[in-house]
Amino acid sequence: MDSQELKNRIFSKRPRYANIYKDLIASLANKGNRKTEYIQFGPIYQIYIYAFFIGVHRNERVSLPSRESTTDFLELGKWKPDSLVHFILMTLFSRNSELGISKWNELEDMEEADIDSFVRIVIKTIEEYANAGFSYLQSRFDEDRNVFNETYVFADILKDVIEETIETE
Amino acid sequence: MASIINKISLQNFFNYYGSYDANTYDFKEGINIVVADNGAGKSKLFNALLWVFYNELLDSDLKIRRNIESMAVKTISDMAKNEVSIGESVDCGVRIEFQDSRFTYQIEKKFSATKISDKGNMTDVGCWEINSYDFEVSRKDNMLLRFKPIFEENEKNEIVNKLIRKDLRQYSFFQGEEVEDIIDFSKKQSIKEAVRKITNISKIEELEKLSFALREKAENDYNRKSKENAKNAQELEQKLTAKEKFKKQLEEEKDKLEVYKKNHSEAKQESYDLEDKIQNSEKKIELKEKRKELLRQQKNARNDYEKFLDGINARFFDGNFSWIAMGLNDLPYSFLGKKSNYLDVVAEKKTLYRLKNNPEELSTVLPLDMPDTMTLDKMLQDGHCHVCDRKAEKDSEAWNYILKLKNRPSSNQSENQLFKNDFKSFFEEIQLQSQPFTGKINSVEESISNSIQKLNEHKARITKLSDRLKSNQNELKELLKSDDIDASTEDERNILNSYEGAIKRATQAEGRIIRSKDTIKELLKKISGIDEELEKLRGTDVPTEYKEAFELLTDISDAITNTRENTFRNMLERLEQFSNRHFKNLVKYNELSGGILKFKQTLSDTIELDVVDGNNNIISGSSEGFQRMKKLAVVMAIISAKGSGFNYPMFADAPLSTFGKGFIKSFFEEIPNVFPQSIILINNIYDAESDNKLDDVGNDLLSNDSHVSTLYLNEVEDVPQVERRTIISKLK
Repeated sequence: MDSQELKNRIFSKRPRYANIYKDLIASLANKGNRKTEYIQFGPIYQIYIYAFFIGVHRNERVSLPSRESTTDFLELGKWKPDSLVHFILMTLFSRNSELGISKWNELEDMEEADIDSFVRIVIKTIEEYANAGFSYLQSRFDEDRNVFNETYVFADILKDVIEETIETE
Repeated sequence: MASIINKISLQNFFNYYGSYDANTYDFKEGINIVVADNGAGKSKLFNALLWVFYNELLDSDLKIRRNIESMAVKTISDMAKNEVSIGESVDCGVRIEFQDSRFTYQIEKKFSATKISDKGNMTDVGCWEINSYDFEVSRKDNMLLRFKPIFEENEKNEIVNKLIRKDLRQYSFFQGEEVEDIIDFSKKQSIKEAVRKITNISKIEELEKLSFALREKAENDYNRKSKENAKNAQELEQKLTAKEKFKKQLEEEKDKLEVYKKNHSEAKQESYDLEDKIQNSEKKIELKEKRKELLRQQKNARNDYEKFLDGINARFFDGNFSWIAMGLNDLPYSFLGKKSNYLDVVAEKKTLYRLKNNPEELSTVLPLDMPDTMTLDKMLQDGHCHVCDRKAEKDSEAWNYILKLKNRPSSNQSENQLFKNDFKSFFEEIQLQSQPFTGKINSVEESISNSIQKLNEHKARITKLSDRLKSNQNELKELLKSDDIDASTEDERNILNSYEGAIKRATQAEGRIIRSKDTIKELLKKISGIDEELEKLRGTDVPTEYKEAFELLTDISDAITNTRENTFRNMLERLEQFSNRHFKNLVKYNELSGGILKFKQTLSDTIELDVVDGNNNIISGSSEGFQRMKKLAVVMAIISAKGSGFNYPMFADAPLSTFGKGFIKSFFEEIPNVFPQSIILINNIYDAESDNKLDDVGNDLLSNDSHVSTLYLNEVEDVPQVERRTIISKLK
């Protein structure tokens, strides 16, 4: 299998999120210009990416519930910009142990079926980081919704998370 | 002897709660002052006289005069209204006692109101029934003791007229701002009218009319006799007809001139009336245009701000800002490390494979496919080896070696079978494609703080525009006297057009007046020429008494016309002289000279008043105090220039509201020179902080050295309206 094929397999996947965060996503993502009273992201993948990085900074992964309690959305390859999807992959491949491989070279000797499993692990990892991120966002949202009216709320939260991580380290 | 007000008593009249006895002012000849803070019954006292004179009251809410019947309930003291139960009545009234040399008069106007309901507010008209309005006048001979009632309505009104004569009331009974209107210099007629009022010109005019009629008759008789005795009757007849024709033309021209004068005067008047407004209009249009522009800028600023806000979260994902990469500073290094390890293992494997398959091939210290093609291209281009950091100029040995490396066969081509999968370019692509984010990691925080600064700039721009709009809005509200500041500017445009129209009409009329006067001169010359010729044609046989009667009546009518003109001119001069005398006295405590007042007759025979300096240059734009002093000086002059003295009291509410201390002092010194009695209601000298509630000027007036006859202080306690009453204390 070549690089392009691997990329295609990863990019064709639709990550999922837990249905319990649907309301949160509805409040904080502007799906098709529906404005809420809060500061919002654009399409769902934006808040998803944001949640993913919250999970990454917090070093926290939370498994998704069973498939029927989750929803998928846009394929990874259609997230914009393309460079950001690569940046996500950079983040994941820098943490290869999270992907179940001790080094990248292991991939070179895998059978196609194993590569497929690996791709599933990559998507699962994205989902679990994002799921942890959503959980954190949900708690912040429940704690004080007014904060989500502030212009720089998402930059502030990200900063908080980074600072918390530095402190715990 | 002049009329002098002895007493004014009020009963449950506005804040004057209680009977007449509890609310009586005893006044004397000379200066009488009622000092009160705002709301302490000053203007209500003025209202008492308005009721007596005109059956009207000033509605302080609507700022208009209304008939007493339409505001009776409002007139009754709230405290009195509050005290009565259903079925009980309250009396409300005003009583004035004044005297002249022979009689003392009492005028009383009153009504009573019965409470019929206590539903709703006690000030509701529906809760009261007004029983009757009474107007009682009584009179007593000063030598006797008893007042006798007057029953005849006309006589009652004549007595009211004795208090202050109706046609002179405007000069001695007024409220603060009304001083402006007494002599409204923009109304050119007003001085002319004043002159007419204080002179016997109207009587002279009647005489003049009579003399013209008599002269006309004498001339007709003379002509008739001349025709009977003329030698050349036909020629005489012709000349007489010609004279008649010219006379007719003259009359017509005079009528025309009057129309032109009227047009001129009206157009001038309109332009003066519009002058204040036009300045406002220009300003209004300017402000409204500015408002439009500010609203446009505000809309843009808000759109920009909104757009900016909408775009803020996109900055997390936009490679130009890459905020999502915040805090991931180690990530690219970690990735590169992993990639390097990966490539090492790959290279090792490949080397081992090649050694195994081509033991003869020279092994290289460089890992396989390293440096990559892109790096090699760059090294060739730079003429420098970035691996050993040495020069490799074009076509040198080193450069050719780099070229050879670049052109070596790819490891992939021959070693495809070495690995099941080849993901090298997958990782390279990740590295390459992520660059917009990896390259910005270090500047994310700076980018966010720049964005915050930008946001603040947007907010500041909006605040600044809002402030400017607000101040524009306030200016507009002030100018428009309305909250509807977005009404169209059509009115203003109309005012500007009307003003321009009025000026044009005045100029037109001016030209016509000049031409008409020339025509009149021409016609008079023609008539006089005919007269000379007529004398020769009349012959010698006409009885002399006809000629003498005509000549005598011509002289008389000329003399009367001259007298009328002289009287007017003299009175104008006298008025100017007196105005200046009063003005000088009124402004004497002020450092700045007020200038000299000059009356000037205009083309349309109205009078203009200018203020000039010592060099006859017109002074304009003096302070409001000066302007009002100027008007007061003319009012005083109108009264004192009459010569026979003014026979009525002056009663003024807040005439000094725009005056400084110097003006107030000189006003009280000057006023007795004009008015035998003055009652001045004033708040300028009230000082809440002072023990006796008077400021230093007030205390000077109170002192025994001053020529003030009485001084009253009105006070109200700071209690709810239903308990509020005016307390009158006599300080002097």
